[in-house]
Amino acid sequence: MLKSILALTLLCLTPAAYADEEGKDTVMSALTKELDRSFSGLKNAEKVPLYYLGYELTVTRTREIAAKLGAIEYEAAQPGATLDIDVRVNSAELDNSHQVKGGGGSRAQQGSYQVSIEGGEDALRAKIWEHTDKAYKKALEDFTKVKMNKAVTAAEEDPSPDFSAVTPEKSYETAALAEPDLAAWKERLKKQSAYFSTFPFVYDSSLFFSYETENRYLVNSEGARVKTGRNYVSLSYSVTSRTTDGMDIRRSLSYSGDSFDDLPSEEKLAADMARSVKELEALRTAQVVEPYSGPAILSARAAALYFHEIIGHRLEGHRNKLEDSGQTFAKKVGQKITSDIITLYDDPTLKEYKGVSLRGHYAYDNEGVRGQRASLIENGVLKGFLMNRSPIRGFAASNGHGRRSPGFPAVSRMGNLIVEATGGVPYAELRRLLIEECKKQGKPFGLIFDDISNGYTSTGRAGIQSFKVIPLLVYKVYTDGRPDEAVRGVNLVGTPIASFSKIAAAADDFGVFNGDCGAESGWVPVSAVSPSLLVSEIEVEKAEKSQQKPPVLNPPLHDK
Amino acid sequence: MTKTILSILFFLSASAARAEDLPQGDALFSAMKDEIARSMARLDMDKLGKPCFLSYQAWDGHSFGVSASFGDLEQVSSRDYRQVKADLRVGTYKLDNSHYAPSPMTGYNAESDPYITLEENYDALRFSLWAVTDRAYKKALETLSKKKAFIESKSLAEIHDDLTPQPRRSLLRPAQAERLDEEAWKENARRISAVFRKYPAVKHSSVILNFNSGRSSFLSSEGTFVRQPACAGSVSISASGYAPDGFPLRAGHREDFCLARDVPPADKLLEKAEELGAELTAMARSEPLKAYIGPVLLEKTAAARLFESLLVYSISNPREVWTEKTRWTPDSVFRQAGQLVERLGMRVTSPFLNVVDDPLARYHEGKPLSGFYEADDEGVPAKRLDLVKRGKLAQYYMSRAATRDFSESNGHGRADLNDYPSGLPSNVFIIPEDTPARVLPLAELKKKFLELCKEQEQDYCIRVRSFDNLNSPFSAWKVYLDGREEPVHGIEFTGVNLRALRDITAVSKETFVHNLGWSVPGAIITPSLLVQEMEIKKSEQKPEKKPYLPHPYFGK
Repeated sequence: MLKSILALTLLCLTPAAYADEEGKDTVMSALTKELDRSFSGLKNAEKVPLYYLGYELTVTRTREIAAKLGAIEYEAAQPGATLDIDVRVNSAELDNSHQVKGGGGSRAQQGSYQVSIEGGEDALRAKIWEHTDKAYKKALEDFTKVKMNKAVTAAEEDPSPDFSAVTPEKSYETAALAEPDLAAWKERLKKQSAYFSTFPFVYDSSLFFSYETENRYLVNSEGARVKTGRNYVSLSYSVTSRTTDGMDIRRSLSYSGDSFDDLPSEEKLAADMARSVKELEALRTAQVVEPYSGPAILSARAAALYFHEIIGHRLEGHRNKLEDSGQTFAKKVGQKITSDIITLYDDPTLKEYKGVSLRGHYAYDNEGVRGQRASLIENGVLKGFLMNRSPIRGFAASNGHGRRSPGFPAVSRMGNLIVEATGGVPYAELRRLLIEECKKQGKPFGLIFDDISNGYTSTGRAGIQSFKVIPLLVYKVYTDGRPDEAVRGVNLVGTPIASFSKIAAAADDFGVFNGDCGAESGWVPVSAVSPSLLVSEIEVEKAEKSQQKPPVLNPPLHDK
Repeated sequence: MTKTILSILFFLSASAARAEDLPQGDALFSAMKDEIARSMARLDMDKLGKPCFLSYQAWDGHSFGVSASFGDLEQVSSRDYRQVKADLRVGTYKLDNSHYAPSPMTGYNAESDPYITLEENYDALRFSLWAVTDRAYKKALETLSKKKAFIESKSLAEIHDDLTPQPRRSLLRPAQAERLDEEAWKENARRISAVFRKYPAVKHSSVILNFNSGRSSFLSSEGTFVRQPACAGSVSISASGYAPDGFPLRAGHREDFCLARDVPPADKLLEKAEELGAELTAMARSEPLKAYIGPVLLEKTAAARLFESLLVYSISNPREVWTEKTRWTPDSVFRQAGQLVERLGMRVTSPFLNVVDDPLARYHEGKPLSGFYEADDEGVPAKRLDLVKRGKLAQYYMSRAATRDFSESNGHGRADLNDYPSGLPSNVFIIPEDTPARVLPLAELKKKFLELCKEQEQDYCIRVRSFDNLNSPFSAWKVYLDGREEPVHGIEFTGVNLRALRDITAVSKETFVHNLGWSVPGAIITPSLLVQEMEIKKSEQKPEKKPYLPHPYFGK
């Protein structure tokens, strides 16, 4: 049975028979022919001219295998090809992408279309034609709304144009990934996932292995002709339980890279899983923390995610222009916004950081612009923003951060967000500084946030412009020398400007968060890197919990 | 294997079934049996009550899907699946947690897990069953308390039993996943979709094949168990273009099958694609129509849809599902009962028509019927039902939930992975009485149609082959008295009600199998229908602008 599944799934991967030589590449040929034909045919088809047409065709090959308690639970391999179309009418100064004030925050999803996975020129061109026509009609309709909205509403604070000029890129590179030994991987997944079945308090678990090759074609009426791609390989596990008061607790870890060599060995994975189970067990009996405000350490990986949430999203350029956005940092360029030990930049060109693979790496963004290092904060002073091709006051050009997942218009997003700190001290010293700070503030204990799962940040003006980050593993560190205690049930909350100004010291370590970030332009792969940080004041509030009790009966294997 | 399934159908044995009869060494049934035993004996949170009933239903097999357009593949998927659902009841058989949606937002859903182990691993299977049972149990307790409060707050004249008794039964049929030659079907999909390269009138087209093949395994705390094949396959070809005024025109063909050997031959599908191409080419000169009142000839899909919308839908789901009112959902009925349930014994169609539902029918004139099953999703034997006898409604679809009229299931308790079983159709046959004047070969029926047209002093009458539903626009043909036909579009029915079924004056001898496309597989087998009078109006929908540029392939 197993054998036949293998044979079959291998076959499924064959259709993505895209050529990898530029001259013979029918996809590139179909895209450019249809681009030229559409652009010249539609340019002056209506009174409002078409001034920009861009196609992005994303070709993917993915395989996912999930194992639970020693058995394979899911396996699928899927080839895919989707087309995104960007149409702009009128002029770069004012086009159909312009925000319609009062009409909702962001532009609606534009739709992504399934196209041929075989790269046949006729089939591709037929679909490109069909969807270009729809996208063009929608752009004209949207522009009519923009004109009317502009006529009847107050002038915008930031009069920047809607689209910036770039030098068209030309590049041709194909990513590929050799098939791993699937039988060996399945055996390993089964074997290692069985480990979780030995613990009665584990209410759910999974071990998940996936890999994907993504190749993107980007062509536009300005002359860009790019093929770019990369591989995403990942292995992750998750183990959950529930406390007697109904709080769901979870430990998980994800490893990612661009080749199978980036994944951990069996021994390393086993050791991490064992540690996670121990942490889960400790959390089951951990005491619930009452709302607290005081000093805390964010350990490196947690600090990276914290930065991503509280400041990263607010430095996305377009957010400092949208009329309904908080524009937290729009007018703070050149001002000190955090401790002068902190330097922050986003550099998608980095494939790794000190030997650790970065998931947020890309060569070209989704607007065909080469990924570039964007300097955001230098020694505590705000220097710039993450920019896509939507200019903002003082920042006219893209720095290659226009990103999206298929089906959404690109906006400015993070890639590899990197926090660096001067004067980093060994971690033990940072811990000593935490205790010292607690004593100074008259607090009996401080907190160490060892792991954070995810967070939310609200940047819109209509809501509360604050952030919330969900810690997974928190320790209380007492000033009187008592051993550390695991605690649970708190969320990190705050407002960005206040929180950000309270970073007091950093360690000389670093941690990498590799994951996916969701926003109005969909889910994009990102990384964040930071050293451990001491924050002089952090605020926590009680976390939401489920009202569900733990399972009535024990898991069957442990009901003897 | 198929031979055994096709051999004479056994009625489920009501006496011989004991839990001991479960197949030995079957990891799935063993895990189900042990988890049911443990749950029934010991699930009792804070003395709030043990379950009074628990059943599991698992589906496993292989799923294959392919889609193609203009000669190229667009999507391919091929994977094994196994999923499970728990139906757990607390309270009593008279009043349990069913037929109540705990909140209108979360809906009325059974607890299920769409991905459980693909392997015959007892421990992993039991773990998944335990997890889904725990969720189902806690939800059931909460739902029952809300339902009781709801009943107490209302003056409800009738409360019917939620779970009527059934004897223990068992059914074991050989059932294993079948595979199509997937490589060959990828090639077929390419070839069939490439047919439309010949038809400039076809602007967009697609060919989609899906095939899920495997088995369903059911076990209840009453000891009833069933294992039977569960499969669903379909091929659909669709083509669309534009009328001269930009109104979209569509033509499509769909065939359903369950066994790999019944997949439609590629040659026949190639012919169908050619027919659709020709049909759309003919339709491309279509003109809009303003309004029409008069005889209508409904063929194929159109005939089936008329019965589906007006009759079949209205005799399904005979029990209301209640919920609590909220600010946003002011209705305390979450799901209405079928509207004809209250009209038992009344005239619903012309007196020369009978309607029968037969889940045990596997083929009709060689065509596979997708509604086939031997035991329903509550383990009750499938039964043939006389729904309409000589035009009068005699029966409706029953699960184990009682209604005012019936206190027993008629083997139509059906549900997909996310639903609780409810009375639903399988294979619906529209069968005329043997009245030569009203049952005619299609060619004769067309003559009669024109005679009627002439009698009513019309210049032309309307023939419809397909529509999506009674409220959406469709295309049709004007048929002139001399037999000449012209395509029309941009029209929809107005004021259609049950009257249309009573106005059927004649039907064809030829029949057509139409797939229902509901959450559970089913079909309608119907003749073409001549309706005395129907009203058609111009659609409110505005035509789109035609594409700015010519199709790149045909415009060359």
